[in-house]
Formats: sequence, C-alpha cells, structure tokens
Amino acid sequence: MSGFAFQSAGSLEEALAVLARTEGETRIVAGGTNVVPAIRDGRQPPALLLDISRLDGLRGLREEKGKLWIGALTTLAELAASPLLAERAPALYQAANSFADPNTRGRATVAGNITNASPGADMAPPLLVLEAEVFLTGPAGHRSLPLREYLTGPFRAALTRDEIVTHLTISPQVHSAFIKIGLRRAMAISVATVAVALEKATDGAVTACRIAFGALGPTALRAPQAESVFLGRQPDSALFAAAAAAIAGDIQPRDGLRGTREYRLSAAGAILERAFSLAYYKEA
Amino acid sequence: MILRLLLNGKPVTTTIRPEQTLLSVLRENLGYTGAKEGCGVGECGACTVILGQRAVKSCTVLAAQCEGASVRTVEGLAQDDRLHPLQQAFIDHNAVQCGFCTGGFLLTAVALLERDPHPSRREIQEAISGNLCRCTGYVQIIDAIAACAAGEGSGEGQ
Ligand SMILES: Cc1cc2nc3c(=O)[nH]c(=O)nc-3n(C[C@H](O)[C@H](O)[C@H](O)COP(=O)(O)OP(=O)(O)OC[C@H]3O[C@@H](n4cnc5c(N)ncnc54)[C@H](O)[C@@H]3O)c2cc1C
Ligand code: FES
Ligand code: FES
Repeated sequence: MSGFAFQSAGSLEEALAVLARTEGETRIVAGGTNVVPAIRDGRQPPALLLDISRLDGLRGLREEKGKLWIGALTTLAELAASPLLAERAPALYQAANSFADPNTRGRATVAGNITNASPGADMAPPLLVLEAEVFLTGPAGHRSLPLREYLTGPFRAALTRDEIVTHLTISPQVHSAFIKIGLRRAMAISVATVAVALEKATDGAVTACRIAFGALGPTALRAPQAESVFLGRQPDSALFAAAAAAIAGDIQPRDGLRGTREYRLSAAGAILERAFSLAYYKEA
Repeated sequence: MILRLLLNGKPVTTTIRPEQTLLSVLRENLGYTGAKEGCGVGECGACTVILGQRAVKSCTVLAAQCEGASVRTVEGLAQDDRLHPLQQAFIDHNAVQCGFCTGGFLLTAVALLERDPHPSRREIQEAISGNLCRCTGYVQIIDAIAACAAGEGSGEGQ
C-alpha cells in the first residue's frame, strides 16, 4: 500500500469481510495504544487501519456458566473498576490497577494487550493462571485456544491475518494475586511480574497451584517447577526458599536496560513469595 | 478523509490523513495548540484532552476513530473571561511554572472531578500519575486540585 487508509467496522461481519478481502494489508485498531506509537516510529508500514472500537458486542465483563466472560474491547479501566473482578479474580483486578495510568487504561483493551504479545504484557500472567481461553472468529468460523498456546513468542500471537479476537473466558479464583516491579509505581514497563492462583484444603495444604511470570522470558511463562514445590504442602519460609531456587528452571530472564539477569532472578523469588502469601491468605 | 468533532461544544469539520493522531489534528488542522506534544508516545500527559467523558493522551489516539465525538481542550475551560475554578486554583496554589504540562493536568483534573467531585489526596495522586511535570513539582498541583474539590466550585466543565 502506498499510504494509510482507514475504515471503521459497523459489524463483526463487516470487519471479517474487510480482513478476508485485504489479506495482510490490514491492521486492526482497538484502543490504538500500541498501534499509534508504532505508526509514529515507522514500525507500522502503511496499511488499512481497521477500527473495531465501535463493535459494542465485543465489550463487557460478566459471569457465565461459572466462568467470567471478558469482551475483547473491554478496557483496562473497566477491569480496574470492576467489583466482580475484585471479588472473583483478584490477580487480574490487581494487574489492571497497576497498568500504566488511569488515562491510558481508558483506551487500552485486554485483547490488544495479549495480541500485541509483549514479553512484559501485564495482562498475560494473571490470565495464564486464571486459565484464560482466547476466542477467535474468522472466515472458517469460531475457534478457541488456551492463552498459553496463543502467546507464541515475543510480539507474536497465534491468530491468522483474517481473524479477530471476540472475547476471553477465565476460571475465577479468589485465591489469586499479582505483583509488578517497575522502575516507578505508575507508567512503568514491567521489570518482573508474577501472578499466582491456588486452591487449598481445609487443613491448609495447597491442592492446586498455578504460577506465571512476565518480562522474564520471550512470553509470559507458567512456572511448573516452582508450582510443584507447593503442591500438598503448607507454605513456610523453607518452602518459599525452595520455590525461589526452582524458578531458575522455569524462566529465562535477560540482562536489559531495566535490570540484570541476576537482579531479575532474585526479584522473581521475592515477588513470588509476596504474591503467593497474598493469594493464600485471601479470605474466600 | 473528513473528520467531524464537537470541539469544546462547537461542531467542527476538517480533512485529515488516516494515520493522524488526535493531537496532530487539534494542533495542525484546527489550530488548538493548548494540547502540547511532550513525548509523542503516551508517556508524559502534556497532550491530555477529554474525549467523551474521559481524559486521554491525544498523541496515542487515532483521530479517525473519534468521528462524531465530543472533545474538550484547555481552550474550552474558561467561560468568556472567567477562568475555570481549577485554572484559578492552579494560579492560587502556584501550581504553574513553565506551563507546558499545565493544560494536561487541568484536563485530567476536570475529568476526575466530574467523575468524583470529592476525591481523596491519594485518588488525586493516582489520577494524575500519567501526567509529568518537570518544574513545579507535584505538591502544589495536588494542593490546587484538592482545594478546588473542597471549595464550592467543582470541575463541572460545561
Ligand atoms: C503510555 C503507555 C503505557 C503503557 N503501559 C503498559 C503497561 O503498564 N502494561 C502493559 O502491559 N502494556 C502497556 N502499554 C501497552 C498497551 O497500552 C497495551 O498493550 C494495550 O492493552 C493495547 O491495547 P489497545 O487496544 O490499545 O491495542 P491496539 O494498539 O489497538 O492493538 C494492539 C495489537 O492488537 C491487535 N488487536 C487489537 N484488538 C484485537 C482484536 N480484538 N482481535 C485481533 N487483533 C487485535 C492490533 O492489530 C495490534 O496488533 C502501554 C502503552 C502506552 C502507550
Ligand atoms: S505527548 Fe502525549 S503523552 Fe507525551
Ligand atoms: S510547569 Fe513546567 S513542566 Fe510543569
């Protein structure tokens, strides 16, 4: 394409038809907080900018058959203000509240965050531990896949050029929490993040445990070795030390502008202990 | 392409390029230079305007997506020669030095007080966390917003 073009989709069908017709020449725009800076920096070559922000059917947050349904266009501000999320899925609620600043949250969407697929995308760790399923619609119809299969690499997501994310579902978990380390409290790209979701028996033993880290590998990552440390046990300082040691097998932190590999590894152990404790002691 | 906005309550029409930001349309097409370009990538808040009911960083908003929307800029705050109560509070509390950031802070604060007329100091801090000031410092700015919220003149806008 020689220059940019713009079209605002009035319906999902129209958006899908545009994608099918224009193949690789289209860039979907939701909140635009990733796409617009990319245009400015020349990282987004000329394309048809397909505005999907008017597709109100892709908005909202509600309980459905024991899961939470989250529309693709639901903004971070909506997540950050949701009493339902605060009560049923604290990890996602806390992540939304530590994202950028309130004005950016008003534009940024949840599907945009995971589709942009930054290694430090703040929605990814909480969505991974809440077993998020990503629902896509394309010319071949509907399909869904777990978020861990959707995030295929740095800035790579498993959607084809003619597909649109319509919504996500998550399994709510009261015993869940999220912690982010940035260089300052607001407006900070993550140095390291962790989300934890767990279940426990009446005697306090951990019966299920999911842990995911962000900004510590090519994508947000589940941490199976650290998870297995907690299973069947009650947390104490020895167990946290064992989990911190196990993390080295789960994540691949890199030296970078915002922290060295060593710093990130030890920070990951520290925030795991804090997030785990928050999730574990949360009143159900 | 054609873009229509309700700008500070008045309908305006302009011809834009599809990839233009709302900030660039306000400044370059419409001559509303109250919104400043500090960073151009969403980090500083100097470009903040109110889109619909919410404060946004206009440098990260695609103008074409705003078709038909209401936009308020700092130029629309004063009524005739009467300053908006928040503008007066910024002056009274010495919350302005070079002024480059001020328009952005004002619009973030106007949107905050419309949503929540009596925010706590903590809520004010949270609301302005995406607006940077390099010279005044934040204490006077927070004082100004808090004083405006405490006084009879809340940020009712227009
Ligand atoms: C100042 C600033 C601060 C930021 N802070 C943070 C932060 O703290 N944490 C963080 O994780 N991110 C942060 N970001 C990044 C960004 O805001 C988020 O990734 C945001 O969630 C993207 O959503 P969007 O709707 O704005 O995306 P857009 O820019 O509209 O789109 C992003 C990508 O997703 C695609 N896409 C969007 N919606 C769909 C859909 N429904 N179906 C298929 N494809 C789709 C687009 O084509 C594009 O490739 C920040 C960005 C800025 C500018
Ligand atoms: S110019 Fe828009 S946030 Fe800095
Ligand atoms: S008054 Fe100069 S940047 Fe705030």
